[in-house]
Amino acid sequence: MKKLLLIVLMLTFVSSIVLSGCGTDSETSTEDTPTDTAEDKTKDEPVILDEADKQEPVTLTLRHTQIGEGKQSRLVLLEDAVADAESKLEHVTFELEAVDHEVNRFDKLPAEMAAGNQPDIFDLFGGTDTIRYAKADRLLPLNSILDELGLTDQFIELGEFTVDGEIYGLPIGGFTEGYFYSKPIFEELSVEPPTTWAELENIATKSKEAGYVPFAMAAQGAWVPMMTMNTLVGHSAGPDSIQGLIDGTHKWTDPEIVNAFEVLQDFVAKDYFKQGSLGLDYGEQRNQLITGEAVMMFDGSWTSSVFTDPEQAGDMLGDVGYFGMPGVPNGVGDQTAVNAGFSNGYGFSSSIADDENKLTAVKQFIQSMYNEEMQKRGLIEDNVIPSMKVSNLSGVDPLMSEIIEVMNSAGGAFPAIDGVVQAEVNTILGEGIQRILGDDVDPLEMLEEVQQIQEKANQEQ
Amino acid sequence: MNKTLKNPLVYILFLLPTILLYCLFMGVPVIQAFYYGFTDWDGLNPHIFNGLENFKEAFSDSDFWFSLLNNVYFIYFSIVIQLPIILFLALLISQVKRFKAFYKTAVFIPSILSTAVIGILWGFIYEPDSGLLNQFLALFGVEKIYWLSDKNTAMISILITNAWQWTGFYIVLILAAILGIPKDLLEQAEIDGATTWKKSTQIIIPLINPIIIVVMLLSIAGAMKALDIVWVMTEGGPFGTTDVMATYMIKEAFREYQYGYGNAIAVLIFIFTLLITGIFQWITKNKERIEY
Amino acid sequence: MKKIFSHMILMSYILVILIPFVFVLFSSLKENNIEIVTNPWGFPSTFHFDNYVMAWNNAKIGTYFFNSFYISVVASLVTLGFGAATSYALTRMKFIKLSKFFYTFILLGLVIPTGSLLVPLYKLITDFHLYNTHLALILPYATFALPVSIYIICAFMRAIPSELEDAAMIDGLGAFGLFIKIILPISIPPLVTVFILNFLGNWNEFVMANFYLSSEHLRTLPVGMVGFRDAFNTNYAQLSAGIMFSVVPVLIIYSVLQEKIIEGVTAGSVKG
Repeated sequence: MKKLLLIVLMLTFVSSIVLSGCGTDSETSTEDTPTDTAEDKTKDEPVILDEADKQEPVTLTLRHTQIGEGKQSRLVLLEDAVADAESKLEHVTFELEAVDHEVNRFDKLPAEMAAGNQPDIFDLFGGTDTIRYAKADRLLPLNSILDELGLTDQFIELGEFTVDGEIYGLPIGGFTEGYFYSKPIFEELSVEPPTTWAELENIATKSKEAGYVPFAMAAQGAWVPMMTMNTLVGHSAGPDSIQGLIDGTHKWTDPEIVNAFEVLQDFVAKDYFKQGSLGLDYGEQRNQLITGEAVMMFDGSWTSSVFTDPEQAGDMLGDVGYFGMPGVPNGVGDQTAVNAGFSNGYGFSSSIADDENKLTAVKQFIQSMYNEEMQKRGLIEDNVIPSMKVSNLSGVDPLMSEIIEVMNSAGGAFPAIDGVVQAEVNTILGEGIQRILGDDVDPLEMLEEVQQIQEKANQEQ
Repeated sequence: MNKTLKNPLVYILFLLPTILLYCLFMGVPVIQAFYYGFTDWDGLNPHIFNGLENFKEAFSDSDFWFSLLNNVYFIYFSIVIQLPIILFLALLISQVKRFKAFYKTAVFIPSILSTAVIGILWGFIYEPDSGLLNQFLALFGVEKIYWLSDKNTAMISILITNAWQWTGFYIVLILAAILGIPKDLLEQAEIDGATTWKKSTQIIIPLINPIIIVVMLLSIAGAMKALDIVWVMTEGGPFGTTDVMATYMIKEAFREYQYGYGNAIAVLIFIFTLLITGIFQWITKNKERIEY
Repeated sequence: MKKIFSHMILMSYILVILIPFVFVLFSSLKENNIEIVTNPWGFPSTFHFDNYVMAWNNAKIGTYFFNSFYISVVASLVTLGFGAATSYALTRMKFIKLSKFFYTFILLGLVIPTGSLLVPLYKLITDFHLYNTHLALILPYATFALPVSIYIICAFMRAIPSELEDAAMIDGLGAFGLFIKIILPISIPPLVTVFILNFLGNWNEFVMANFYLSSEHLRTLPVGMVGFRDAFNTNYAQLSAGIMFSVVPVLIIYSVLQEKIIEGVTAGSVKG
């Protein structure tokens, strides 16, 4: 008898391990936290009985990247939208999970997409990321949903999230990139925001002489210095050059593009950037400006919320200004053009299409997240350029007004390189830019290698 | 003999769980690595067999060779630089009488901490502006060194951290062997008037040769699978100069959507590890050893 | 004289080990980055315990701690149970040839660099729908630890004299009874060793935990700490407090169990 008991025990142990490996994702994830599920059940049961509501509880996973102090206000907005959606659909819970922006975009999401186990809702970039995932049927097509919700015409621009006429993601806001600068140091050096390249160089030299770091930099993530490079290329080779790289009409080795990289190299040679930037994480870039170590910083408009938050901006509150990158010498095309777009937002897993309950929840999430009120709040509380048409733009803080002004007076726009070129090109290019910062490579040599990979990638498309 | 221990059903029952787990979570991935290593696969779309293409690519991929070189650098550092220090410190501890237990306990501490936490801790120490190391060196007038962001110092910085974590572990291993040497052997040497130096090099070290070989073998195996420490400290940066094979594999597979190629690298890691440890064991077996 | 010299060298090595901890401890109590930069060696001017409160709240250390503990214990227990049963069959049961084959087969696992399995295993974890569950870690952890555990336990069990079993068999014990009542109680020393060895290995594992889990409430301490660093890397005081939270409990356990731990961790290799 004892023997039998042991065999049974052993078998159930083994089979319980094997069994728990089966079933759907959502089931296993709840199974794994026995205490939570128990609580959930006791909470949910009375609701079901009281309302005679037969809908089963649904949990959607929502991956966002709003971690750290700099993204606090964005997190609040997301939490409010989720709370709103949950209050309208009693049986639905959104389970938020925060992951670092770079970890999500470059490690976790690609790996999950490959395996097909992406979260239900996730932070997504338009352009190449969206194209790749959409072509592998990992993203939920949104055209009919947007029509149903009457939102189709409400977005300013969905191009980066559109693949073959179908929309696969919704931008949370727009962005532009330019120079943030420290007003007190500009005053101290008695300089004005530059309008020509010579003036910019002059400020850099003066800053250096006065013992400041001319340009803040934190280049552990290659995309950070790539922002500067992006606009340099756009100015030097013209606004159409970036798209031209994948159409084959432009090459990385074109003299105008090489010229852009030589400008960066020249900055490095003149010690204009923060030393040791290759070991610094993105968050430290703005800190160099806030602590008064650096004078200027090339960054995205999303950063501006940091400078208007007393907690984070400290003494620099209200003391940060913004100007667009001046035209580069011998630049092609309109030199007031800016890097701008609507490329970061949320995408949804294609698996949702098969689950009526989740689909309803996603629709509600879209309604709660993408509406005029949230967009207005995003603009006021988080300094994010609305991605939807907002009728009343009042109440914007001065720094944000400066940014919008630069955008309004821009004679054109060009996209972010990392949203256009293929992943493998982006990697080699990012590494190349880091090499230039580390004074490890000749730009032309590096660009020849990038062009090779670019041609190979273009062929494969 | 009795039948009790010859019941095949019982035998299978005792073995089955282990064999099941083992085949499932080690056997299958190994086979899969071989299988997908011969395919062109981006992880998203259907895979296509491409024969030896991935391996050809690896052999002409200078970044891959560079990452392998970093693994070799790991081995070199642990055997040529770390091992003498380990031996020296272990001998010192074995010869003192007071605080022996304290030393043993203290040196071991870093080995029980998580590599991830150690990576964070040392990132803090290497921080150029406020980090402990630069602040210390500044006392001697040394200029700021950008430890983890300069291609010339990044790898050595990781190696030092790795050494900091594991030196104590190996000291304790060697110490155990030294303390296990029969007393009379050492006493005899002292009667013969051997100096400490002579006693150490001519008696102790030859006697603990087997454990030294184990330490070397463990160092090699550890170096070949180095991953956590690099991922946490630099993720292979600046610009890939600290990539080891395993980090390069992850980047290729996940970041560049080269699943087939990533699996091929996994296969190459097995093969190189087997080769290097095999060669090492062959060399050490062919060398004469003094037994006691 | 010579002894003093030896002690000086050893003490300076101990300093190299301990100073980083002291630095982090001091930093964790300082007001902000400025105080850390301007006064790196000094004692904090006033104790800022609020860093600890903020780190605890921001980093969800409690959750991560529990997860790490739970995963490490369960995985180590699975390894222990399966490893002991297998070792018993391999060393005490009379299937000599088969046992030799299985033993060699299992020990093959010792030479597989587990890090290289990360990518292929990712697909397997997904196919079994284990992604983002604790089983995605528990099962691989338990498996990867089996070869070395079986190696250690077998070495011990092989040396048990068969007279003990003979006597018990006369008393009417079967194979299971022998295992539970005779062999297991004798084998407690290597089992404790194996448990500690595996527990520490699992507790410290980072890369698999980083890739196989996604939800915040499931994350382990190493992953949580790295995420915390990524989010708060400009706030050294708070980061230091976070490091203290993850280090101190381990140090406390170590100070209590140090003999056993050292024995456990080293046994895995000495006997190799």
